[in-house]
Amino acid sequence: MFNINLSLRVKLLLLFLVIAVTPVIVTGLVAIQLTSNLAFQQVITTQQSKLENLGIEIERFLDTTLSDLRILAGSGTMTNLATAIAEGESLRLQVLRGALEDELVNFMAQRQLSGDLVYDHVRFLNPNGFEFVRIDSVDGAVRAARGSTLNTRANESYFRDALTLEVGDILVSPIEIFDEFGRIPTPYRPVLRYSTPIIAGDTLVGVLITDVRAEGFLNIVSNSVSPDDEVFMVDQSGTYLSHPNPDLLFGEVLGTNATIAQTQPELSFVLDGTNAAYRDLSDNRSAFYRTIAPEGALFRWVLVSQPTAGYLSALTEQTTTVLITAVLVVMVLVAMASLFVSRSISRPIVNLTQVAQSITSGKYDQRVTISNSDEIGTLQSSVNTMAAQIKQAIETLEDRVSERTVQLDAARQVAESASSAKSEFLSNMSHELRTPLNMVIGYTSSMLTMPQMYDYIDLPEIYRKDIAIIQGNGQHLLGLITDILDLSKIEAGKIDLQLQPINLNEIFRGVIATAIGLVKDKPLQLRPNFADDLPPAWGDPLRIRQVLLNLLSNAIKFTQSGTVAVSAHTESGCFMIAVSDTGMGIPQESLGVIFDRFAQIQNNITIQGTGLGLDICQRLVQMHGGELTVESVVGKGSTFRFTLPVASAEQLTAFALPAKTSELNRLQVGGSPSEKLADTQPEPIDWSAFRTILLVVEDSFLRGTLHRILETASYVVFETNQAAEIREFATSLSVDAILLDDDISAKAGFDVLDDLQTHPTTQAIPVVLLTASDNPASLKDNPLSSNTVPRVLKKPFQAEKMLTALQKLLGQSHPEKG
Amino acid sequence: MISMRILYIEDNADDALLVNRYVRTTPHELIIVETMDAARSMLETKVDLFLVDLMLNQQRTGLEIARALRQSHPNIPVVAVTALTTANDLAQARAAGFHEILVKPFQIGDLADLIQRYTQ
Repeated sequence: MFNINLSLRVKLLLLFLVIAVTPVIVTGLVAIQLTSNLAFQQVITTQQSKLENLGIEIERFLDTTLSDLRILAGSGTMTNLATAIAEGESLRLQVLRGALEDELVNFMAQRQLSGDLVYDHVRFLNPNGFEFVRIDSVDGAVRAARGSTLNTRANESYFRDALTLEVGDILVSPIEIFDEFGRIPTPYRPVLRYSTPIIAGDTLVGVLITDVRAEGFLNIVSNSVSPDDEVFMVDQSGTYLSHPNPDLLFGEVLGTNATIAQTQPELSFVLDGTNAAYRDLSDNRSAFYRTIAPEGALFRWVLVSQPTAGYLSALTEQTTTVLITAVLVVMVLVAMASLFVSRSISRPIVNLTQVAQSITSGKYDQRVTISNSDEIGTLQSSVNTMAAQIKQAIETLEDRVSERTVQLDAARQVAESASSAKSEFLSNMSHELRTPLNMVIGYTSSMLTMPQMYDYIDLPEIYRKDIAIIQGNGQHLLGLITDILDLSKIEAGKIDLQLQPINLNEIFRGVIATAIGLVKDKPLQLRPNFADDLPPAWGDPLRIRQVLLNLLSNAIKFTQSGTVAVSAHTESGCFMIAVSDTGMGIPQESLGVIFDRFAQIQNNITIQGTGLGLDICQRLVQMHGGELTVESVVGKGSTFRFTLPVASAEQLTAFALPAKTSELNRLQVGGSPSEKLADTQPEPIDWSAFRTILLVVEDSFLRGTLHRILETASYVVFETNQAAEIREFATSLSVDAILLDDDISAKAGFDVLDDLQTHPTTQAIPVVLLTASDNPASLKDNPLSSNTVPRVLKKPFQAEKMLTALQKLLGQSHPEKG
Repeated sequence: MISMRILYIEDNADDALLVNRYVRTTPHELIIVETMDAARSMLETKVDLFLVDLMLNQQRTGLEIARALRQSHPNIPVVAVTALTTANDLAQARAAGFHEILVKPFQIGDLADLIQRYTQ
């Protein structure tokens, strides 16, 4: 309906006002109507009773005066006089006349004293109409008229008409203006005359007449005039007897001829003779009238009252004003009540709304203020109950969650302690296995390399070989222990890859360098088969190195001659890395279980190998998201392949550190090579101590001796006797220096030197030339710059001299113990 | 050649003997004790290098010893000689303040190199 956005309170207020004010206004209007009717009825009653009272008062006046006349006519004095007249007792007549005069004077004086009832004259006329006795009241004095002032009234109607009346009857004349003496006095005096015959026996002896001043009752009428109405009196002919306007009075007599028919024609109806009535006139006026018809009168009078024009409307207006005021007061009260009621309804609802919103936003402690015990109060307490239940439910939930959290925490702690127990077991197991091996490896290495510990007593060659076997097997056992623990750690999920961008060229060079040491005297060529600028791979450099080294050492171990190649190329975002050999190959039935040592045991298959190395390699490759596969033909050779992801641009930017530094930082000091690789913990070491030397010596004895001396001096030593391979090795292994014997068969030492120095990848590598020549004069003719001129050692030389020469070349301090 | 005074805390007699066999051939002096308590009395005089076995009497007491030595003798190198080789053990050893770790089993040459390094 209305889409006006009013607050609940305003809506309720408007609703209450409409509901409450409408009946108040309707009631008010009805009340105004009713009240004005009532007021009008009141006016009618008032006016009628006023007229009635006036009429009664006038009638009482008439009764009194009539009764006065009867008393006078029936008095003893009058009766005696009448009798005397009738019997002609002239002697007593004068006395009785005087007695009557006295009585009438007393009577008039008494009446005059008593108030408004004033008699002008009382007369006794003889049957001829002559005044026998006349009492006058002139200017307040009452006295009997004498002699000449007595006149005949024979022609007056009040005399003649009275002659025909029976005893006791009274003639009431109409009101007349007193003009007895032939003139109308000023101010004129309206008079009312009563006359009654006096009869003694059968003889009419005269007529008794009283003249009453009409002012006595006309004043009653004029005195009753109020500001609200207009009261006047007319006689049956419409002549005004009493009227607020004196000009209208006695029109006929006074010559104005004013009558009601002339002056107020709309009121002529009052002359209809009805006793008492009112009539509603046009223009909101009404007229009330009452007819007075005195006993024995030949006339009648009509009292008329008419409320003034403003009176009724004023009455209505007053009522309306009162009512409108009342309505306004009621409206104000209703508005206040509405305000109160709407507030008492809307306030709890607004409060409810606010609390509900608070509860919605998580304040479960909020409660509604309960205002009273009505339906809203019930709603409020229901909401509070709901809020309490919600709070309880949430608290219960929180309790359960924390309870569950505690349980999970306990479970996690159990799991962690189980895991920790597993770790400790592995650690202790490793410790227990390694401790006895220290005696084997420590003592055999002492016997083989530390003659001073045995007072320089030469170890017979026959022992030396066996001790070397013990030493070798000790190392093998150590490798197995390391592998088992490594595999256990992988199985236990204890190995985390340290993923980072890897420079594969670096890794390949490093593992080939190490692998060369394993080739020993076999006619075996290590062939790098990859580009110089491979993109960075994504992996754990130590683990990849471990995998490659393992594959390479296997290949070298099972290849007696030919080549072992390391190859790599990218293919759809992945490196395909392969280590292939021309070795003995693997029988077809073993290929399926070659990466699972335990399966080999189950299937009773024996593969000659290094123990658990391939199992570990497979796991490590799998941890990098790849798979290690093998192809092999018996007698032809084997190829192991695995994939490695190429580092993405995001991965590269995330790693500012060059792969080499972090890789080297993680190498361990001490322990076997595989131990170094197995451990993932970084430890800074002085890598500069590890320098690689390429040993190019034809003579195997000299080569072996030099190899040992160099290794003892902490050099990594690669060796070859093939002049053709020198440059290739030097390049791919990035050797730090070359020891070159000039007796190599294929080429003269100087030719090799020349070759190295003219080639860009090798010309910067320092060379120590071993020569038997007394004067290697040709060196002086060497056109190359002095810093690449080789250092020359004249054979035979002391080992110390050779080491010093190398140190100087490589700019390092003496690595050997003093 | 400079002669060092080396204090070796080791409860395994075989290992102690092997190390002693080698050090005898050098100008250095080797003192072997089995416990830290025994070591304390040796600390009166100057020591140039500490060798500490991590696992003493079936406990990893070596870690506490290293911490104590690093505090009392901050300028003297402390080297672990141990067959504990897991990543966790090595990390703990480094955290305890060891300068270096010689892992058992070792080639006698490794021991020689190590002592040589601290001779300067």
